[in-house]
Amino acid sequence: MSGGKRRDRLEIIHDILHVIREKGDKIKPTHILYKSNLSHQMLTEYMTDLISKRFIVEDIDKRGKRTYRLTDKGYAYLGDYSTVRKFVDSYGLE
Amino acid sequence: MSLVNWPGYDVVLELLFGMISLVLSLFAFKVYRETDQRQTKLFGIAFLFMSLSYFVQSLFNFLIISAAKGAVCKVMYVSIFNWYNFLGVYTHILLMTMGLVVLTYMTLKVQKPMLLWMMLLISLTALFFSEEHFFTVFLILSTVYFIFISIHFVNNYRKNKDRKSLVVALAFLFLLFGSINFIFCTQADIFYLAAHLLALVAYLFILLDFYLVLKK
Repeated sequence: MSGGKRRDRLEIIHDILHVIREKGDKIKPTHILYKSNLSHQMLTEYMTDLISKRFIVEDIDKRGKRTYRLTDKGYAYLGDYSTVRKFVDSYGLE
Repeated sequence: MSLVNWPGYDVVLELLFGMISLVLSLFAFKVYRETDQRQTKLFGIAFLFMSLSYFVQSLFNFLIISAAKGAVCKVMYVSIFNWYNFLGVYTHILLMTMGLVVLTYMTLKVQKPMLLWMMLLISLTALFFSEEHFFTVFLILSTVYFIFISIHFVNNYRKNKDRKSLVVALAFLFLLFGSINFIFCTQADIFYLAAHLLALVAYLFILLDFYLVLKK
């Protein structure tokens, strides 16, 4: 997780997706909260956004427990993050 | 024979600018698909308009040169020239103005679509009522837009202090100098050539940045 300077939206999304991938694509919301270093409210907003934009999928089991996994779009984001970061930074698109 | 007297150098350069702009636009849309970043979408739209504008300019300049070679008499050439020039210049100017307005709006980093429409409406109204000064008004407007766009990229370099941001800032400063040169192109052909060469340097800088971005 990046420390020091304030993270922007692209970096926060990268960090959340990275945590999900590291946990083998089946992670509980509390783990993401702990690992992503975000407030509960901010994480909820980001997770809602990531689900609506199809970066991640929410699975609910019979007992009502929620877990999250990456979609192909989520994997593509992680794979291309370095290139995207350089492009966005060089044109100041954030 | 100097480049000023070489018919068709502008056709080749405009085609090249159109291709580089198109590549940049498509890459921005690819980034947008992956990130859902609004700024990236606006950037892609702006460069798509600019790319189309260069392709139109290149095509009509090519048609004018071809007409000059194929015309059987001067009257026929003048008639074809006027028609191609009218169509080409107006379409190029409309597309380029739309591209620059969207790019300037992108640099403002605000979410106010009304502002975008207002900028577009003011620019198109100014062009519509400028009559015989149509081209000069367009060049002044585009220079003003390039000033604001360049300020954004220079500030971005001051913030990041890295090579890629510097290359992009230089690219847009060269586009600004090119735009200023175009204002004087009715005075002498050398300004027309200089404007194209400055734009060439700018687009080579954009290509260099693209290489730096894709380099692993």
